[in-house]
Order: sequence, then C-alpha cells, then structure tokens
Amino acid sequence: MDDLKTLIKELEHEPPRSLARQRLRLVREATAPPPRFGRRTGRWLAMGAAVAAAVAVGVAVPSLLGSAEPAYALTKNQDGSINLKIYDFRDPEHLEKELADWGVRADITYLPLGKRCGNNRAPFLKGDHFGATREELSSNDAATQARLRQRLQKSISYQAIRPQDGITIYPRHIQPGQIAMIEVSENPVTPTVERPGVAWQFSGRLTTGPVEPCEVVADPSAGDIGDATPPPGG
Amino acid sequence: MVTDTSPAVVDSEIIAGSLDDPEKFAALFDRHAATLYRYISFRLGPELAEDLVGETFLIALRRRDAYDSFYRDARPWLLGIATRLITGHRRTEVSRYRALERQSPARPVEGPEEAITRELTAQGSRTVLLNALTLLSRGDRDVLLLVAWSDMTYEEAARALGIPVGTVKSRLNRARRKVRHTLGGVNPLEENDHG
Repeated sequence: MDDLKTLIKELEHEPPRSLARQRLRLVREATAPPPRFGRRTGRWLAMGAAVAAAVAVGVAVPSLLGSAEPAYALTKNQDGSINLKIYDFRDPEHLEKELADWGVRADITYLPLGKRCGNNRAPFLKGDHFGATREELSSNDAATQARLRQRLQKSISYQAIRPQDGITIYPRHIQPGQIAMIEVSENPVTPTVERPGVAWQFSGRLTTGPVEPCEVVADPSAGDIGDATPPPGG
Repeated sequence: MVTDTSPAVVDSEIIAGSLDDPEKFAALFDRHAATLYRYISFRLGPELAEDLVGETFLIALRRRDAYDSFYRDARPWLLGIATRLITGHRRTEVSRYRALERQSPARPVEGPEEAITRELTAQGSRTVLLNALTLLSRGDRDVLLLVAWSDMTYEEAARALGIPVGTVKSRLNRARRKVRHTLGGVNPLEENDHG
C-alpha cells in the first residue's frame, strides 16, 4: 500500500443509507417516457430542490393560476422562436420534454411565493458577465436600471431567452450542448380587473451545465417587480 | 421490485437487457453505486457525492444504447462518467485538498519517540501529497487518481476517460514524476505496470 492509496482510503466515505434516494431517482427516470435530453432537476424541484439563478431581471407577468386551462402553451413563431405562456405551475417535466421535441434542452423550475435559489447551480457563460454591481442591481434609479437593462440585453442568455409576450425562446441563439435554465416564481400581486390571478416572474439563462439542484431559500424581494409587461394576450 | 444481481449475470448483459426494459438498469446501481460513492466522496467529499452518484447513473442510463457490450465490466464506463462530473467541480476538489492539507499537521502526536517519528513522517508526506494533488493539471490528476483508486489497466482508464492509451501513460508518468518531485525524491507510488 503506497502513501497515495493510504491517503485515498482516509479520504473515502462509506455510502450513506440515503443513497437509496438516488436509486429511486434512477428508477423514476427509467420508467418515465423515453427522455430526449438531459433532464435532471424538474422532478427534484418538486421535492424541494429547484432551479436557476439568472442574469435576467424579473418580469412580472400576470396569469391565472389554478384554472382549468392547460398548465402552459407553447407556440412556434415564424422567425423560429418559441413562445411560452405559463398558466399554472404544474408539470415542468412535460414542458421540458415538449421543448426538447423542438430541439431546446431546457431546465424549468417553478418556485413558490417568496422563494428563490440560493446557489448559482450551473456555470455562467462567458458572454453573460456584464459586471453588474450589487448597488446597480438594487438601485431604484431609472437611469441605472436602463443602463443595466441595456447591458443585460446584450448578454448571450438574453438573446436566447427573452421576456417577450410571456417567455420567448430563440433556439438559433442556443449552441449545441447549452441548456436553457428557466426559473419561474410566484409573485404577490393583488388581483385587479386588468390583471386577474397571481403574477409570476421569471429569470432565465443559458448554461453548459452540469446543472445542480436549486437550494431553495427565502427571497425577501419577492414582492418587488421589475419592468412589468402587459398580461399575455391582454 | 426484485432485481437480479447475481454475479453470473455480467454488467454488459444488464445493460443490454435494459434497452427494452429500462428499469432493469437499476441492477447496475445495486452493483456499483457504493463503489462510485467511495470514489466521488474521496475526491469531492460526502456533500456532493450522493447527488453525483445519482447523476452518473442518469447519464449512464441515457447513454446505455451506446455501450459496447464487448466490455463485461461497466465500472470503467461508470467511473469515467463520474470523473467527468468531478471535473466540473474541480475547484471544490482543490479546495478540499487544501483544507485537508491545512488540517494535517495539527494532529497531536503522542507515544514512544520512534512511533512519533514514524507518525510525523506519515503526516508530512500526507501534507505534501495533498499539496501535490492541488498542483497537478486536472487531466493529470484525473488519470492519477482514477488509476490509483481503481487499479484499472491503462486500456480501461483510456476507455473510461475517452482518451488514447498513450495519453493515459504520459499523463500518469507526468503526474507521478511531479508527485515524486514534491515528495523530495521519495517514490510514494506503486510503479507496477498495468498495461
């Protein structure tokens, strides 16, 4: 036994009983409809882990939660982009699968009111570093926000995932191997006639993965809404 | 669910059988999850190991149709997937070795003088070894640790990492040389040729 092997033995850990959870995860995946891409988080999100810290500024989009409508609607635009409207925080796996059928590898996470991911979860793309300071991000100054938005809109992720008419995804701006990581969270907005239901905000970015599970933490800024866009179809 | 894990069935047969019945793939988990956990935990610590074991098997499941059934033992394949996942966490790995390195010399040593000397020498080489691991390039470190940990042959390591056998040999030689150098000429590594 040489020194390196002795060291390795010292650093090793015995498998915990909780490793059985990973077997369950495997069996779930194995018995799910044939996966077309590397989905990994959706299911775990539902169990308390969730997705995506992002470069995107939140955009409040009112929607009708809990209605009898389908959970979401996907439509393909003439320019090749894909429009996503979310009606209900259900079934992210199905949405991921459908996006995969259209050639977009996505990682969708729904977060309850007042929660966000406390970790970065996945590597950032180089083109996404637009150097925003904490002060800039939390600034209420209109000029600062405008500058920030301008820089944001030049980022690679923003080219691919845009807050247009709900969420619009541009597959031509997604390179092979990149994953569109989208985190949607509930937002507290008092329902009005113009804006019925609960609002949500989303943030999205591209990553090459691997995507780690979201560590859900409380988000005290959940009530803040960025530049609100009109309700879908409204 | 009853899973057949009898050794008479080789890994490649489990994988082949899982092509039509994906649930059968779980038998591979039952065989190798513990091994993978030990490997990942020694490099990244227990916090990440559990999730990455699951991740390794999910990737393997999705790629199982590309598995070459000529190779009966699936361990090199699985360890290769795990190694690539570990590479994605190389900062965690390096910080881990650094943290352990800092802890090393703090251990109190008591006992007869001879034992103390022996212990201090062991602690010293442990510290130096941990330091050496942080200094290796990730390619060299992957090959060194994979081979040292698993006793794989050069061919198996090459297949696991998806690199030529020649590259495995040159990386291993370079890594060993560097580690030897940091240990001050003492050879801590078995030099028995696998390949």
